[in-house]
Amino acid sequence: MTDTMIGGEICKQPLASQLLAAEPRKLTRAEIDGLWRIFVAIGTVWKNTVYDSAGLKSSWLEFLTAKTMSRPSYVSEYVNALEVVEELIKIYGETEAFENLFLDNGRPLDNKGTPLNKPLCKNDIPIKLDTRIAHAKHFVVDEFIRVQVVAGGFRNFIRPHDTEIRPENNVNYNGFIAGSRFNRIKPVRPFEEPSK
Amino acid sequence: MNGTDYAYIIVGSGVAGTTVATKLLEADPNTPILMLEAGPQVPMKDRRYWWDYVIYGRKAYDPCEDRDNDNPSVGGTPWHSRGSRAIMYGGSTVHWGGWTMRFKPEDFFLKTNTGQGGDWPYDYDTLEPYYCRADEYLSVCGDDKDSADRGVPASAKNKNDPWRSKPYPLPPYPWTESDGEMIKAFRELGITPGRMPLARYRKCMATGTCKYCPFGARFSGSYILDDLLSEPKYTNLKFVGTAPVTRLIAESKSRIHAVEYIDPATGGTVTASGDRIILCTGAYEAPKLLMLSGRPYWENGIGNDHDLVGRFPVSHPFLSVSGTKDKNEERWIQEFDFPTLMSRTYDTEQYQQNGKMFLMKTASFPNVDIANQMIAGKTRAQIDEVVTGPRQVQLSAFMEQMGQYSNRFSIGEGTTRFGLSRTKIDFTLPPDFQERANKNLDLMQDVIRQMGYTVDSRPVGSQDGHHTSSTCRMGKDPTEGVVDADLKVFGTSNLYVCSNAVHPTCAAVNPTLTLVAVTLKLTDHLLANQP
Repeated sequence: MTDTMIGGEICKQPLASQLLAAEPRKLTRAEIDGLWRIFVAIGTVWKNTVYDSAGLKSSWLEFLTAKTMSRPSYVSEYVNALEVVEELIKIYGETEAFENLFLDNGRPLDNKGTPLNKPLCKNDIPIKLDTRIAHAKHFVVDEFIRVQVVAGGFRNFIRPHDTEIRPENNVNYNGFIAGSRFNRIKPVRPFEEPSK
Repeated sequence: MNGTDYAYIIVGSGVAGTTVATKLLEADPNTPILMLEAGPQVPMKDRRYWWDYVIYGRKAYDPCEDRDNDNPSVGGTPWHSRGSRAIMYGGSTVHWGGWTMRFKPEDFFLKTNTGQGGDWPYDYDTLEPYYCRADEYLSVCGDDKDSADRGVPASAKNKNDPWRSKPYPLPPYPWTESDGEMIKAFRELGITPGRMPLARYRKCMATGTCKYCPFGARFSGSYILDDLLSEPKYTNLKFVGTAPVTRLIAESKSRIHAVEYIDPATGGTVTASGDRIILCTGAYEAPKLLMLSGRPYWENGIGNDHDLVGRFPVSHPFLSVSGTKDKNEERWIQEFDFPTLMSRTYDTEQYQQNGKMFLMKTASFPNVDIANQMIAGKTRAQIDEVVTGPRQVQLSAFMEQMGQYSNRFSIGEGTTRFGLSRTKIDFTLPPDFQERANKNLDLMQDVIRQMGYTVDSRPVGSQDGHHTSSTCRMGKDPTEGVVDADLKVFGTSNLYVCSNAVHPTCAAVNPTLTLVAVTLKLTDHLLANQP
């Protein structure tokens, strides 16, 4: 625990690095709503949803069910993240709380209080997950970010000027379920042969 | 059956084993078959496993893949087995990419044409009808316009593929917009661009997570096995998983009577007898099982009187040339995460002596892992800068390798976590290999430069075992090979090997489609020649 870390007592509370133990169970409506608030904030901070995050909700809910109803269950991590976020909002207000959590300040710190120079990301074993906020960032925020991007959040980075999702504007991304029952709809930006 | 427990014992549950069982049971649903598999079963099409793969890149079957220390490499060239095979229910097609190119006519005559490696005991035209059946079995998507006319070499008319008597079962995947600049460079250099043939068993939803498909779209032996085991008609099919076979038992020189395996429930040894025994165990396991078996009738192991078992191993050296451009204004990414652009221009008889190569645009370039940038705490502006910043591209190739007698797979010390004996790999590349590889890299580098990219690197990848072949190769007689043209081990009446091990050459392309064609040819032989 260091003084330079964002958040208050809850955020800085020490935790072991392993996934918090939990039995699989259904999340309550209030828990889902609280987690959805985190997911929506991703689109707000990075401005990568066309209207809002509603179009991504079915993918996210399916992910949430998979993570809570099978082992190892993420229920305790989700409960932890909700308490961390609640404290951050109380201290910073909603906008700044999420910016702090998502952008540089939200990263776990090393023993000298410096943000870890390696992001906690795909195939990366975090060096330290020793606080409640570090758990929230790694097990919840980072995973939600990846879900948000593969569920459709990638589009706006690739085609930033599209305001509508149309078949002719199709673009694909690793992990996006892009297929269709109709072969005539191309899931990608296809190469058009120049006319001779 | 002749007083045996089963009509057939199939060792291995990969694409070869499950295909043999399927065809035998289609012909007679009551056929008594025992199928033995050393590896465990892993849940497929499971959404939790899929999400874990998307988030962390962890595959459900990671524990089933080879680790380097499973198979000690003792030769002059390190041979890396890590990740080469999936030892599990359904076998290695659980982790394959589904690339399904045919071998070409000259691949059946490597020794005749170059003086190296081996010849097949039959030609392309003999296998062609089985290739068509294999295409249908695996649901291959491909471009008919890319195939040569019969009797005309593909290279003569700038075609990529050899002649075919039936069209591809499914249309090809489109080239993506980001393929365009390489297609242009290909054409300017006289290289014919082609569409990658891919096995897509069920409707593909283009997720790009083929290594763990959430829908079962990419063909896998595990789905075939699921279908077989859930079919109520097949009451005499018995499957035993996590049951490594330790040896075959001969009752005379020519007749192999039984197999011995470890019972997963008790850890004890079980003996099962069969009229015909078929080793569908891949190029690592088949030679070792032969070497471990057959005494006192076979002093050096079954089929090994001419000391050919385990020799001539080949795989594919992986060549790549990477380049960078300053800007990615089009914000291109590799949208399918599997290659859609390929060429076989340098995969022709003209290049056979040097080592033919099969070119493909590497799937992971150009790409930006947007989520990683966000996870690292980068702002929108910073990420936009990365997305439109320097763009990388890579051209890759498999290069053909010629089998050498001095290279060999044999029995190592101890067993793996699956209860299989370790494979001792004694392999050394020929002295002129690097020079020949450099010639190919020069050709590849021309493409990257023609595209206007600065060449960053041009490595030859380490020797690995993904496409290992030829360790029990076919031959016209026992001085040339371990099995005959019908895959029967020379000197035996009822023992067959059916895997990449029997291919006398590995060509420059992935071997699985050819293995399925060879397997379908074997099943025709078995059904036409019942004991």
